[in-house]
Amino acid sequence: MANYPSSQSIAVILDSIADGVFTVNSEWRITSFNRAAETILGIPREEAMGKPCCEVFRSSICETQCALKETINTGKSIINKTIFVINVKGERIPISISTAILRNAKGELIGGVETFRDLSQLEELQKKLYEKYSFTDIIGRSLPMRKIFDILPQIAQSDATVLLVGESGTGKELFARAIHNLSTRRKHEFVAVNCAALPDTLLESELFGYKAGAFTDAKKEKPGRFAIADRGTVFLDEIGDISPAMQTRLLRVLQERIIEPLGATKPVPVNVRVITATNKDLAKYIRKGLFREDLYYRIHVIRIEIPPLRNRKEDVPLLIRHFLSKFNRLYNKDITDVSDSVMVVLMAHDFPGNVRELENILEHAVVLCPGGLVELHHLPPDLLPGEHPMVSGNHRLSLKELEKMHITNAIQQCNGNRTAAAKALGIHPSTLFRKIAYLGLELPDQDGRHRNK
Amino acid sequence: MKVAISVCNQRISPVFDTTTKLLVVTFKNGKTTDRTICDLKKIDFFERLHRLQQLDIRILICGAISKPMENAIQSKRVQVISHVCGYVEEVLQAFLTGQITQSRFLMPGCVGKGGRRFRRGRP
Repeated sequence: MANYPSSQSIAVILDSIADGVFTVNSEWRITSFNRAAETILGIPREEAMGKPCCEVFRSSICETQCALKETINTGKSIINKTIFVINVKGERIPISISTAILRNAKGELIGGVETFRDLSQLEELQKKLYEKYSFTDIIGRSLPMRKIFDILPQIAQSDATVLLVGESGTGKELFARAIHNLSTRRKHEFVAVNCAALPDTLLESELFGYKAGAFTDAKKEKPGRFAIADRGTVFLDEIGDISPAMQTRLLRVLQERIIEPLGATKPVPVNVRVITATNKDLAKYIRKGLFREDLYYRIHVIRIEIPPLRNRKEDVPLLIRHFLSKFNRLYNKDITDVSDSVMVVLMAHDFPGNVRELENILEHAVVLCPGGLVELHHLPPDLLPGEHPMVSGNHRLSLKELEKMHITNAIQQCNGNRTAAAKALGIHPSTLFRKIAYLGLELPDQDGRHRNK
Repeated sequence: MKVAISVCNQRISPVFDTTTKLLVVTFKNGKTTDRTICDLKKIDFFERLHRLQQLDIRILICGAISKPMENAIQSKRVQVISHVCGYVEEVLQAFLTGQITQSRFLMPGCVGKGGRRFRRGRP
């Protein structure tokens, strides 16, 4: 007779598996839950045991296409189906699942087993490789960002040309990709071109392509980016940096929706949506005669201004958490948060490089930090030019001190205007007044409501 | 006041992001005046958001919900009572009597983790 391992040794075996495993009985209640499942879902075993599996697993298919139910009904196992679960922190975790039927020694059905593998790291790498970013990758709860989120779906649904204006590093391409991914063109190509990176002649052949024999060494025909993006979206970054000659060619594409590849005898019609971006003041360029006015009005159908990070500081903690979790997955680290001192430094920083700068700072920190909290010495040295009075030494800031500093900064940035400061902090003005009184803050003489004469 | 509850087989649906059915309950002076079912099948993130706005929902009671979805709903001035589990009728009753904070209505793993973010819910 075969010797079955004891339930204790089965638990030890299950805990040693890197994949999450749980079993259910015939009433869909959890009967075992291994350590990896605890880690991936963030739920302690003792809380999961005996609970309905859908309330523990919280997957995208629990309600409509339960894999375990299907396996038990059909007798067929499901292998490596990709879904997502929502962990206790509210993060969407991509996983692959496999299911099987559980039978007792007599061969009677007693429940089912589901194993699942965390694909977060893989998804992060894929995102990096294929740049498959979606709307949910744009992080922000500040008022200016909420205003953009409100109009983004309608903009995406239209076919209008969009001009994204924002400083370098604000994520203009991310917005362009989000618009494409929300539009009906999402099944077709999104082609990004950095207009400033290529000389004029090269940019022309890149955008419009060429026919075989168009010039020496043009042995084969090459489709341009517009042709590649047919029925999709072309994103023209740094549009303010293209030459007047190129502006004329681009105007024709936008007006007539046709392209003329080099060496072609006939124009080719194209069906593309054009999204452009710039960090330059195009109106100023027009006045200086550097940018065609007619092209400006062609690309300026819908204008989205992406605010610089220094104007939406309330998004910094949210972005910090987002990047920490991203780099945790990429570098396989277990960094929980940043220390109070680091938060103070980052909140006080002006981020001339915007979100990209914050992302780079956090990547630097994650690489150097072995785990736990990111401390000051993990930050790039140029971020700490001198001793910061609030963060030097081992002094840990209290919540009150942090709040005091943050509110003072916000009031200063709004030139003393309390209403604007309250808006920037995302709180009601009366809450701000209460906090000013409670924290004993000294207010600037100028209240920011009137201009100085 | 209108309260929306994501439902699945008479229980709170486990994941709001993919839920297909919403029970919309209208309260007046603490009493239910209307109950309707709203279909959320095959609708995306924004449409889900738009539907809540269209229905003039003030409070959403749901199970697990992803952070971007929760943030987006809250930005529309809808209060989210998340990580709720149990039978819909019991949850509704608990909401009406201000007992929804009881641990029996919390999804596993959410006790003491700050997983639930809401104020007391008495209409």
